Amino acid sequence: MLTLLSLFFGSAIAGDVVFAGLTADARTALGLGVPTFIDSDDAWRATAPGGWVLHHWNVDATAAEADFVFQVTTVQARLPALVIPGADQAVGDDGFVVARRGNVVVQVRGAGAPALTAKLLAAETPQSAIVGPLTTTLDEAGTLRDAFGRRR
Amino acid sequence: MLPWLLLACPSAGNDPVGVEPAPSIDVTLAAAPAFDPASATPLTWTVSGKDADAAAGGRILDENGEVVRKQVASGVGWDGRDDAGALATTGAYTLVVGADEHQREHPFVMVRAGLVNAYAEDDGGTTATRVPLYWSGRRHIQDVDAAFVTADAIDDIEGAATALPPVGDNLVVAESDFAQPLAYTFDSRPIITVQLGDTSSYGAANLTGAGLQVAAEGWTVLGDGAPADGGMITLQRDEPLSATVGVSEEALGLRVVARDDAGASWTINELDVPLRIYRLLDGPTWEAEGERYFPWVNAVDPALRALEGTAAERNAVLDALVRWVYEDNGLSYDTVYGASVYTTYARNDWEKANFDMGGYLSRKYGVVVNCTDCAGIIVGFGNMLGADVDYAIIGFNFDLNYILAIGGDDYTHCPFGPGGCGFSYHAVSVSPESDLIWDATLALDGDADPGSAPHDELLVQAIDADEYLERLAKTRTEYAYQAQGTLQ
Repeated sequence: MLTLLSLFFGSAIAGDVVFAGLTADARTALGLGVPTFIDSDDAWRATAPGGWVLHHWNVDATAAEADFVFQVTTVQARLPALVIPGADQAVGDDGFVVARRGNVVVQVRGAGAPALTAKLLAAETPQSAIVGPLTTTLDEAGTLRDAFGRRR
Repeated sequence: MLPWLLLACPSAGNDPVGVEPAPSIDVTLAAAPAFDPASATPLTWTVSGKDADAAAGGRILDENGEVVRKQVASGVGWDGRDDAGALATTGAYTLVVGADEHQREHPFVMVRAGLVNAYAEDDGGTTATRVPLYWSGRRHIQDVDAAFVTADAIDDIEGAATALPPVGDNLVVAESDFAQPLAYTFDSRPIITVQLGDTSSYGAANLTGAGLQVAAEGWTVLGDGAPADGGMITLQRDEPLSATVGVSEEALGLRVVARDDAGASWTINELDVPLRIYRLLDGPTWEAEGERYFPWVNAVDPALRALEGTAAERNAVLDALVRWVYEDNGLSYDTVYGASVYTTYARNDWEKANFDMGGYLSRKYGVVVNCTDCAGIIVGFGNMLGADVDYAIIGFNFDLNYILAIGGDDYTHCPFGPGGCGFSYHAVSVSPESDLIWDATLALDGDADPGSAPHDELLVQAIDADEYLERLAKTRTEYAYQAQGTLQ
């Protein structure tokens, strides 16, 4: 499946900005403290003022994968698009935001979510500033279906 | 015969003088040829015959003829202790009843046939398939080669195995060092090997050559069934566990039997090996590999108890899982955002949903969930039980027909209130080889017009994908993605 993706979006991968996520100091500064849930190095959840933060990061993610995670990390309710400083994509309202910047997808719940999201993205540490933005979006189901295929 | 009758039946007034017929002593002693002092039954015996009253009491002699116990009443029996109350050692003994011409002797052996270890085995799937269990709290997978019932010293358990640990209210099952549950496929005939006898406070077990046999109702002994010190006895269940999935809690009732030369038999000890067997549909059907993809004890225990008696077929198991999750897991739909709390997209495998089974079992983040969570639950439990099922995304941005969300009271096509009509996406469970859908997030309107009242509650149990999408969505939608997911 990843091979398919790599072939399909190979040209979009090169030069992606890759983020390492938040350092412990950055988390502390944002009032997040110690993550309460650590799935792996690339996903953690921490209590935030008024809610909580779910942070995904994948150094190897392709544009399609990052977009897919943004899509399915989004909630089932159709939230409006938001402008979040530093975000390539964002949807939500004052109490719930999903935003993506490069290979980082964050979900922030609780009052004041847009402001905290902006702070989170600003605090992301570039792992290696390679080149180029992640601009490929795959909104159409058919395109995603072609990209990911079906497990048979 | 007639001359004897004439002599033995004197006529009146004609008693023979000086001829006393030899007394005919009629005492018969019967007792088991072996005895286990730690069993619930002491060594007892019966004395029969017309002179039995003359041989009421008994005494126990050791192999050197020394008296170990001077007086034992037959109705009470010998408990394996000497006159000072100390434990006798295993070995050869003689029971002596009566005296003089009424004396009868009965040699027997004292053994110690306690349960030391029990092992569960399979035969590679021919008649038994065992699946190792996983203890998520300790991140430890069951060692299938290790004993599932053990005792450091058989005196500790007095012949009976330690009971299996209970399932607590918090759904946590402790991994006992002494007794563990087992998992087999539903149609297995489990194979259990027991080790009987060990050095104890009574000395050596003394089982070797004691002429004993092990038997168990409903189980066949593989081999000669004669226990020996440190030896193993293997038994196999005669019948398959069941035609259904669920939990079998039963005891393997071992009887240690002694037979005498005349063919009479005595059960000198009974040992119950406690069994809790999770009857799985199959081994784990996850594509992902790793210890955590084996059945979690604290997941399959509540699931299989809920599914008890469900036909051992993939669709039936998933159908039952959907009903259990939708109706009985205490969950409700997040009608504010439709947000997930137990599923992430992580690891270097972003195309796969990662379900936090551990968090879900403890309801760490509450009971308000969304479709991603419900699909994760079905995929998580289903593949642990051996019901191969995938996770699928349907999308994106479509209007809904009427649905009854999990935990909800009323059908609606706007689950998020006015203006909140439709889903940005929807996650379901799907069969990998066919387009059948299972969905515990919602019930569909099952009547001819799913877009308006009235509504006919239709649980999403093996519904063809095309029909499902037609009933679910008012606007065109389709699968966007399908994979199996992973487990946290």
